[in-house]
This record gives sequence, structure tokens and C-alpha cells, in this order.
Amino acid sequence: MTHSPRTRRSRVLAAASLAATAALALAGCSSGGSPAGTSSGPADFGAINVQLSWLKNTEFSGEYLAVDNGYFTDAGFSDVTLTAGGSGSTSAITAVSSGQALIGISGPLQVAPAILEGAEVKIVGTSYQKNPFDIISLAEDPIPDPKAMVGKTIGVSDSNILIFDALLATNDIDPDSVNVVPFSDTSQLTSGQVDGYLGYTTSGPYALELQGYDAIEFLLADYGMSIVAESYVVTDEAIADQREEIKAYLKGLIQGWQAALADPEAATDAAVNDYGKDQNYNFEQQLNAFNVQATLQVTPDTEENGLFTMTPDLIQANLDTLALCGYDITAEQLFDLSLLDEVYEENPELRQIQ
Amino acid sequence: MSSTLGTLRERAVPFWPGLLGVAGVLLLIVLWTIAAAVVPGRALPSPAAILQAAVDDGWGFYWTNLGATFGRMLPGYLIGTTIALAIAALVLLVPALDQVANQVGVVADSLPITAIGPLVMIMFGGATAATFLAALLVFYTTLVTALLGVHAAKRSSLELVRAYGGGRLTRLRKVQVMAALPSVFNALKLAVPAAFIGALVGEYLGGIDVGIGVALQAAQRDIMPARTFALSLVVGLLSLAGYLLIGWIGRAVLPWSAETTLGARR
Repeated sequence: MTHSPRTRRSRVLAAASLAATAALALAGCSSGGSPAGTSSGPADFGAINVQLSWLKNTEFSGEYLAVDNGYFTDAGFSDVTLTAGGSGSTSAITAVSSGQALIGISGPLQVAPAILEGAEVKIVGTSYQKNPFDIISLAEDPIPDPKAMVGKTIGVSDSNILIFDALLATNDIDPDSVNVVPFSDTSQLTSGQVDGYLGYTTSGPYALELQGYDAIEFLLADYGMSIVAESYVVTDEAIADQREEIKAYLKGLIQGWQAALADPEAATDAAVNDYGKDQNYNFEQQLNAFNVQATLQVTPDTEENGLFTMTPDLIQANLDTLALCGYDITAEQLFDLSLLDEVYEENPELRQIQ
Repeated sequence: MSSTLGTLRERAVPFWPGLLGVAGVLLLIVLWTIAAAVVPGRALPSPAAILQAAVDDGWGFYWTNLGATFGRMLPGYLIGTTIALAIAALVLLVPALDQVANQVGVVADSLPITAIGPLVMIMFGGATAATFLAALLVFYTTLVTALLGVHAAKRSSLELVRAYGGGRLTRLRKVQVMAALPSVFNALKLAVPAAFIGALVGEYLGGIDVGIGVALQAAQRDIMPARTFALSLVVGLLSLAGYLLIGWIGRAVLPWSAETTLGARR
């Protein structure tokens, strides 16, 4: 296992940033939040900041359309600032704990350990019902399922080691039978340094196709790794003090994503030609990513219950996977889906995905 | 002691390295092209493919992203060099502070940039993080190099001024400052690449939509090796250009600098 020194370093880093999070969370408490919330008149929540989990591409098209189509304005926000993430970005957990953002986008794999370390945050809804993790390989030397990884070299970045180890454990694969190397970029696959890598179904295979490679993948979610992704995170304090504000945001967000899913071209256009215009994104590539992403968002469950919802089964499956990764956490510690439930009870028409 | 041999050599110097440099770059391009064809897969784009990617992306793409990065780098460069030079100047006036100043520099250098980054993001947010990290990286190189200049004055020169009745101020003005200036320009020169690295690392910390660091991340995620190489090369060339420009200004302003830096070693 050649990855151990790097893993250790990333753990130290994680610990350092957690310490920083805790310190700033404490500092944030004293400055006091605004008591805005349960007013009876027309809602006015002022301006808020939202911490995204990556650069502004089609991952957040629903957010863009919610801004552009005025759903957030209708919900009572004078302004919604979408703050981009990045490779070394401030985590959404840090951003909300420090008061920089009201809502952030993260996932149970990041949120659960933070909560167990003392962060006072909850997931209030989730965009991806399935995580986008996949093992990508070339068709000429395919890895179509976990068993096929035996004897192969797989690139896995430090931050994904836990889920990869859990995948091996769930599928009864001896960790020593797979050669794991630190993953940095896809050229490791195309130059033959690795036989496969842990990537994202939304971007990996299609980008490789554009490069002229025939790539295949299997989703970790299809082999026991039930972890949702692109989840919305807020602090416990905000749930208590700014409940209506968070609900208003979720309502605007549902409307934004409904609009995006109804018109993928417009959703891609907002990302490529407006919010991410400085990055010369390839329209077809981003459209493809959006369409693959839609398959993670729109499932029989969300078609019945509404976007961002989680069924009790899904919640339990997430907890089971987290336990496999070494995080023993309860549903009450990690999730608070009551705000989303209230949004749908108050606006039942929103359940129907257009 | 500028002998005829010395003058001849000085005249020859600008010519040969120039020609050798061009030949070296051409050789590199040829080798790169061969390597790109030989390396399996398309992981290593050829120089032609990289150029093509740069042309396809166009001036607007580079201008926007470079402009943003430069706008974060420049204040960082100015802040970092100003503080470092101020400390070096203080040491020149109060030599007893030398140890302390060195320690400040070492401490600044020991702060792991990846660990301090998230803190900076929380304290200052997006664009400022890049400026802060640029200033931080610039500070150390500038301080250490400038402190070398503080000690550059030759004892014999100082004693000569003293022998002729020159006081502390005269020694400072005529000898010490003059001897230190080449190091100051060296420091300013070395700080250019440092500022670029600081700004780029800062841009990897997120919170911003435009900048070379952002463009690099987007190109990597969407698997565009040619664009990634083009962006890296452009930053490298700009950094080199800044380095050479300040070196050139230094030589123009301080004609004796070549003599003191080279001459001292010979």
C-alpha cells in the first residue's frame, strides 16, 4: 500500500482544518446571528452566501436558474451569492460553521466525521441520491465490476481511500490483492500507469471519449456503497434560529432544479455561458455531465417524494456504509429532513418533477 | 582591474548564451515532440497540440484569467517585498536585529502553505487568499536575499571610508547601501516566481470564478491535457519574463551590480 504517507499527511491537514473550524465556530457564536426568521409579513431574509462544492459548472445549474428565474427573490432573498469551491477549497462545513455561508454543499462522507469530531451541523436535503463515484477503466483492459480489480492497479486519491476500502470490504475483496496508488489525474490511466481509477461518472467516461478513448465504468453505488452526495449542510444553530430562511432557500432551490431538469440545454447554457463563462467549458461535455447527473437526482423515490428527499431505507443504507467506513453515526446526528418535509407539505405541487 | 581579457569576455557573454539558449529551446521542442509521439496514450500533448489549444482558447480566455491572477499576485508581491525590505533596512541600521530578522524569515518559510491556506480563506475569503499567500512566499525569499546584501559591504571599503574620516552615515550611504542594492534587486527578481506560485496556490483554495488556478482545475477535471499544459507554460513564461525584466532593470540602474555579484565570486 504505497499511499500511507500521503494519507497521513492529509489526515494531519484534515485535523488542522477541523481545529480551525472549531475555533472559528466558537468565534462565530459570540458575534451572534441575525434574529430574522418567523415574521408573519412577507418574508425578507436579506442577502445570503452559499458555499458550493466545486467550480461553477453544471453541477450547480439548479442554483443558477433559481437565481436567474427569480425563485430565490420570490422566496424572500434580496441576493444569493454562490461561492465557488475548488481543489483545496474551504469545506462547506467550515464555511457554515464559521458563519461565512448559511448553506453549503457537501456529503455524508465529509459531514459524518466532522459531526463525530464535534461540528454542530446537519444535512437537510440531498441532491444526488446515488454518489457519482465510479471505477473508470479502458475498454481494451476493462474492469466491469469490483471483482475484476483483483490483480490490477487502481488510482485512488487520498480523500477517497475510505470509500474505496469500504468497497473492497463490502465485496469481499482482499485489500492486498489490489494495488492501490495515489491518483492525481487521468493521464495515469491513458498512459497505462493504472488499470483503473476512482473518478466521477459525471465527468470521467465522456471526457475520455472526447479524448478518443473507449472507457467503461461501474458505479460504486451499484456495489453496496450507498452514500448520497451533493448534500445541503447547515448548522444546528441555523436550524433553530433561521428555520424559515432555510426552508425558503430549499423551496427556491427545488424550483431552480425543476427548471434545470426540464430544460438541460438552458441549464448547461447558464453554466457554460454565464456562471462559468471564463473557463471556456465545452458545451457538449457539460451537457453530458448534466444529463448523467440527472440520473443520480431523478430516481423512482424522488419522482414520488420530491427532489432532495431521502427515504428511510436510503438513510439507513447511508448509515450502514458510513459504519463500514468507520463512522458510527445515527440518523438523528447526521440528518434533519424535517425542514424539507415541511416545504413539501406547504407546497405539495413542488413534489412533481416537471 | 578590468583587463582587456575581462572586457572581451563581457562582450562575448551576451552573444553565446543567447545562441545556445535558442538552440536549447529548439532541441527541447524537438525532443518534446518525439516524446509526445512515443509516450503511450495522449497524456503528453505535443508542442503543436499545446499551441493549438492556446490558439483555440484565444486571447480573451487567457487575458481574463491572467488578468485576475495578476491582480491578486501584484499586491501580494508589493506587500511581501515592501515588508521584507523594510525589515532588511532596519537590520542595516540596527545590526543587532540580524538574528531576529532571520528567525522571522525562517518562521514565515516554515508555515506550510497548505495548512495556512484554509485559515486564510476563513479570515479573508476568496481573492484575498491568493494575495496573502503570494505575499507570504515573497516575504521569505526577499528577506533572506536582502539580508545577504546587508552583509555585502567589504570590510576594507568600510575601513577606507573610516580612515578618511567618514562617519557612520557616510559609511552607510557610500558603502553599505551601495553594496546591498544588487542583492535587493536579486531579491525583487527571485520574488516574481514566488509571487506567481503563491497566487496560484491561493486560487486552488476556491471562492473565485476566474484566474489561472481556477482554469487549471477546470481543465484538469474535464480532462483537457493540452489546455492544462498551455496554461502552465504561459504562467511559467510570464514568471520568467518578470524575472528577466527586473534583472534587466537592476543592471540598468546599478551598473556596478554585475561587477559586485560576479566579481565577488571570481
